[in-house]
Amino acid sequence: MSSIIKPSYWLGQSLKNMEPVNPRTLRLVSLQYELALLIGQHLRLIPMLQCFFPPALKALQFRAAHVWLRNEDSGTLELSYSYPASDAKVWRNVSQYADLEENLRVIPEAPRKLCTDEKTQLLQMPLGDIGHCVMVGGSNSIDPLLGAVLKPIFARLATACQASMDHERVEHLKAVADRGEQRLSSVLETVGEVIFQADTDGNMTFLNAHWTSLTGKGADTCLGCPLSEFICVDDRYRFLDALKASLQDDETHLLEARLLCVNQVIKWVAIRLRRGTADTGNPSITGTILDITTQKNAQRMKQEFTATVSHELRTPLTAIAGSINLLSAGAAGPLPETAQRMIDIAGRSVKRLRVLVDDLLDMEKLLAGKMTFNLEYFSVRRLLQHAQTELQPYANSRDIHLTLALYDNQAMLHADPDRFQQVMNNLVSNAVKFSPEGSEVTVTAELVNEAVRVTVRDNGPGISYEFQSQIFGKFAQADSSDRRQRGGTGLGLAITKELVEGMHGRIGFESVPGDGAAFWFELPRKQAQEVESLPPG
Amino acid sequence: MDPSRFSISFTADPSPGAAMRLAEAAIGNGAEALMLLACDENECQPGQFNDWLRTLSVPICGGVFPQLIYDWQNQKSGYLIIGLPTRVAVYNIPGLSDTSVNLHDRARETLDLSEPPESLLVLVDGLSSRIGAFLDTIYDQLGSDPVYIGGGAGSLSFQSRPCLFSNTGMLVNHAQLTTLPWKLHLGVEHGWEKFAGPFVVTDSTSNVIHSLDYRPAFDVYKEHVEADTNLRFTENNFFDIAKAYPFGLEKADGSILVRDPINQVDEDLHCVGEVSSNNTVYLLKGRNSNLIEAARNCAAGLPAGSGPAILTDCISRVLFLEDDFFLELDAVRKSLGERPFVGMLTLGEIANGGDYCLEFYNKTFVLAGTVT
Repeated sequence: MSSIIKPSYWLGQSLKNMEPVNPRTLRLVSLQYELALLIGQHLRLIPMLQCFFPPALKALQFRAAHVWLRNEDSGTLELSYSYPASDAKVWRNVSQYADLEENLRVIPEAPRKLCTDEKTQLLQMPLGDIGHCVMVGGSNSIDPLLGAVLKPIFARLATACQASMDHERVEHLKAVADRGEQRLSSVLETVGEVIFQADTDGNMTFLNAHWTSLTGKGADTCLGCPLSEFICVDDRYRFLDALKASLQDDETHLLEARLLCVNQVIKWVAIRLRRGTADTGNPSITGTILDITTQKNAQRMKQEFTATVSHELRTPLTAIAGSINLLSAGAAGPLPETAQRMIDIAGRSVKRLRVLVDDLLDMEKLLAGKMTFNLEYFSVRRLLQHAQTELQPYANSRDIHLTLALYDNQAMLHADPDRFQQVMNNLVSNAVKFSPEGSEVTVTAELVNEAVRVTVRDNGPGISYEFQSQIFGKFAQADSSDRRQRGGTGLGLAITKELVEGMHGRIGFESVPGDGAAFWFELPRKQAQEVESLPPG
Repeated sequence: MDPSRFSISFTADPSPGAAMRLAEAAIGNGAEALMLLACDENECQPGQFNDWLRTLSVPICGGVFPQLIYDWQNQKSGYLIIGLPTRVAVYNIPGLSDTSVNLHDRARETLDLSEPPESLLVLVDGLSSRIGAFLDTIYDQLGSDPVYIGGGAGSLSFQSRPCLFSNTGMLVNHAQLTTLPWKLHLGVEHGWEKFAGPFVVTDSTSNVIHSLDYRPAFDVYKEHVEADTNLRFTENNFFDIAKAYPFGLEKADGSILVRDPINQVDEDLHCVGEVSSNNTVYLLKGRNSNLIEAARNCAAGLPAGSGPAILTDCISRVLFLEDDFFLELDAVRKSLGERPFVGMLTLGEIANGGDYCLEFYNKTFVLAGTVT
């Protein structure tokens, strides 16, 4: 076809004053135009190539195309696309084109022709630095200019491939994030407690669906309101203190409070608060609210029951103890030796029962918050000397040497003296109970920051590692044989802990099994001259 | 392969009974499969054929075409029955024009070929709108190894009606693939030449061209065609003129893919086969001598042999060549020599030309012959 074709209106306007265009040039330019507009018709890689290659191959008069792209992880070129897809098997069996294997492993710098046999010709086009494409044709010779004409087209195709792969990567990450968010959303909505987020002022910024189940109030209407608004007045200050504290550290702060629900219903809840970061990047509070009304009611009923039963037991025990004491003292005349022995056994048993009932009553009072503390400032030295005096007889009865060491005679303890004595009784009696005869129990008092630390140290067997986590639990004894051997209710240390904490102190211990134990407690202190300067009352 | 194992029978009788008798005779003579080709003038109705088709004991393929070729003549009425010596697999794929159908999935579900066959006969409802997309799909799935030949079935009235024969009845808006266990040699030629252009298809939908160079498609077409001929377009004579002036899409090697405008609706031009936006097209015209020469060259390119040759030739070439059409067939006869020869005059032709992708052609001469 050598004649010049008369240009159309569109091209004619443009080429009016130009020489007629050579048909071959016109053909190749038209081809470039058509192929360029086939590129980038889809965001995903394979559909994008599927939109390009079928019409492109028809226009170029090739019968197949295969695209190798660089694997981002391994860096090697991999056969990523073939049209027709069915022809891909030819390249997977590389022995059929063994001579070409080397060519297929590298990206050519420029388009090049590869021949397999006289019937098949291949044109290999680089795709930027991300891969290459091999187009398969028949025995008709390939226009020498075709490679140059296609070079910018395939450069553009390479850009589109890279954009598609980037898009797919982003989509994949987004899908992973969406799945994570869906999972989180599902957990938030199905979990059986309220999950909330609040700003640093305590105004709620997120509430899950359980808020409505718990309070009867719509989550949407409560967002933006301070959570404290829904807490009973009596508990509000503790909540605000916990909120403030949670903003200062990375700990989880727990408190129990009463929540105001719809229809004036009040529920006991356990609130956990922890500092976090909101989506905006600002500090926030994340927390949970768990309905513990049922547990609280059960606890209260148990306490009331225990208190009632214990109280009812006390009266007859007092009568029994009184009668036994009278008998033992000879109120009914001298008793036969056997009878005296039996009276002694009965007396000791009644005493143990009374201790148990007293401990139970104390424990329930403490747990119910009904224990009252008469806190005053007392001299450490005086309190400890009084305790030593009270406990010396018991120590002597077990041949234990009880010593006292004070490091500051001037310190004043803020304590209830009776409860202080009760704490000392528990700790020293335990130390004496568990010490071998002839050994020593030491009581020391030293200043630690704003507190006085009192330590009771013994040389007994120590506390096993397995038991150390339960030491302050109710009815905790290392093993049940202890109860029979050494007596005790198992409530002593639990009560001691409640008493110390009730006096705004703290308690702990150190022990290595086989090397004794040292129980300590700290109570607030002031120096004597500071106490004198305090206003009365 | 023994060519006598193919049986070719023709009857000019348009009645369904005539076709059925020939078919039964072919089966009686040992045919393992049947190809049934019918002329549109027969006015085949599903009610006349479906019960019989469904009870056939052998696979059947084929369709209704504007005309057939038998005994080196185009036949406007009658049936051609070809008895195939081996059993073949026939796949019918529905929903060719249905844009909600995913052709890729549909083809994958239907084609259960573990290995692609040597050759495939591909017949489509020639008035469907997604023929090109369908061919791309099956080419993708079956690969470049098989030889594909076929064409569009249907009526020159351009009214859509059931036009393919299958074991489930007559089908409309379907494609049909028949596996052939013989390697075919293929030739594709047309003879049309560029006379105006290029034009850029600035807007198109499937097989409808809306605008060329941003101007209404029909306006551009009419301007150039009327300038070349003394004829003028009226409301009713579009195809009478347009049959001589197809569009052509130029390939990289200078060859032309012809696109036949068959209808004009307002400013749009409806073609047989898709024309994509941004394609560069030319206006073509033909001379009888060039068309006949193209047919001769195509036949000459076929290797010599005694096996049957099958032709899918565009019906619009017949309408263009008119009384000279016999010259085209004569040129083929002289090149092919004495061998069984049958053909369909189709609405569009399907072939992969050996070294090229599977294409839907218009106004083209496609000839295939068996190797032996």
